[in-house]
Amino acid sequence: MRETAQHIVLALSDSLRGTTTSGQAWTLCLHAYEKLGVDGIGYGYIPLETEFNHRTATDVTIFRHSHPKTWADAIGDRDLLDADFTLPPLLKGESEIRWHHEPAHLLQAEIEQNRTDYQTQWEIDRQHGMHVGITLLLGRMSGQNGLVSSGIGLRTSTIAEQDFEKYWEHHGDYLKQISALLDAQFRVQAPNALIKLDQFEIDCLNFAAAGLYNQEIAFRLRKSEDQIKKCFARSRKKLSALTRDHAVAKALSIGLLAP
Amino acid sequence: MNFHNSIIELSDFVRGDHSLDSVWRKCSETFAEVGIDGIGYGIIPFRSEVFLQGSSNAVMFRHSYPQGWADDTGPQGLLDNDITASLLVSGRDDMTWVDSDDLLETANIPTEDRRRFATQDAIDRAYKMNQGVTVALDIDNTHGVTSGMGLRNSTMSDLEFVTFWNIHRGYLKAICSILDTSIRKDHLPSYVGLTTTERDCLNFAESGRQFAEIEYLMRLSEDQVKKTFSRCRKKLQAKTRDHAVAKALVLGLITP
Repeated sequence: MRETAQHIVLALSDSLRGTTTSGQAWTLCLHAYEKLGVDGIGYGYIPLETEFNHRTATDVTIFRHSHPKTWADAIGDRDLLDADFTLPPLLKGESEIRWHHEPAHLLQAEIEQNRTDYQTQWEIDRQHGMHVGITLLLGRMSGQNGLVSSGIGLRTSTIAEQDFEKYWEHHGDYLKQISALLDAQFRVQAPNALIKLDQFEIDCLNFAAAGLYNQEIAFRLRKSEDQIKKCFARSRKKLSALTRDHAVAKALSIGLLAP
Repeated sequence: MNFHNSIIELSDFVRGDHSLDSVWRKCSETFAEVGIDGIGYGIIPFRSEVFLQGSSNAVMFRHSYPQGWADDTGPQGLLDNDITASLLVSGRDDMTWVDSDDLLETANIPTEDRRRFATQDAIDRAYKMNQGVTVALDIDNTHGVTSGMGLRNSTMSDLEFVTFWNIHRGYLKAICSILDTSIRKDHLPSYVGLTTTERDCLNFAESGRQFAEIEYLMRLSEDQVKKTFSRCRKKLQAKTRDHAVAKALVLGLITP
């Protein structure tokens, strides 16, 4: 059993090196997880920490998941992470948070006022088979631009609550390795895979970062000024940014620009 | 002459708690011991800017060249007419200034554009700025920040300078990197000179705040916020607010 798990990790790291599309990489990771008993993942990272002061967790996190659609619908796509009870401890630096522990045990004083929200979401989670699993802290990458944190939630709905510890003991290390591979792939190797900016949008942001006015960008890219404005609006949406400054800053710190 | 000791002394000095000005002065003195009597230092936050906006806008430059030379050249021409700046960001290593025609050839400057370089060359010669070398210091591949230095000697002939450079290259480059590291690691905020208010405003803009919010959070009037941003633009040599935020971010002056 041990050897097979190791083999799965090695095979994944080999095949990730050969992937060409982002969809492929994501599917490969999902397959690897599946073989070890994980039937749903939710991966996210936070490019700009300063946003956290005035925006919700869902707004500031680049997030992608393979959890049941009914679960996402029940919570609402715009609020997926806002009442995720594993998020506050994760941001405090806790590295493993089990889902089957009742949230009351984990909640800290400062989120007391939102307690009912967390409780509601926890119940929704239970209804949709999201009650067994674990949230992992993946990385605090300190580069020239400070800290970027990322984390992943692994859902193991086929495993009974009381068996989880035993399961984790066997598979935990391998699952962490797979998660590290996925983290490197989507944050460092191919960060655009989760944002999906097209070349035109990247060009516009690059020129904006280098200080060109809309008019100049329009001239250089042979487009109308209106098209440039629309392009920035699309980029803002994809980056979940509020202003153009914000979109440029976010794209820069994610590593999408090379001005 | 033992330059080795001077370099060790210098690297000890910059590790101490000194201001940017005293580090600059100490480095200039060490350069002078070897025979360099004028230095120019520049940081380039975005390489593409050199081609989009011209070198003088792209490079955050500080120098100790003769005042008369700088006045005659004019602030815009200081680096725009310096072909080595754009060659530097294209990936060229050290370049001596002796054979400027050869440099123009390398940079593919069309013959009709060479006039301004010829004028500049005459100014350079008048102030004995034609013997020197441009040194490539550091290229950060993730963010594209580059820095470089110009070293000038006013007393030697062309040939003497080339020989001098071949002999002392190692020492001179060591002093260059000491200055570079010190500025980038410890003195970047004072090199750019942003105040706390300016930094806060940039930070708010970076995290997506609207103007009205910044006014409220900083307890400033609309006019004051606008003026703060225009000071930021000026200090960061930025044309737009995006540009200022982007530059501050890659220089590590604001946190992501």
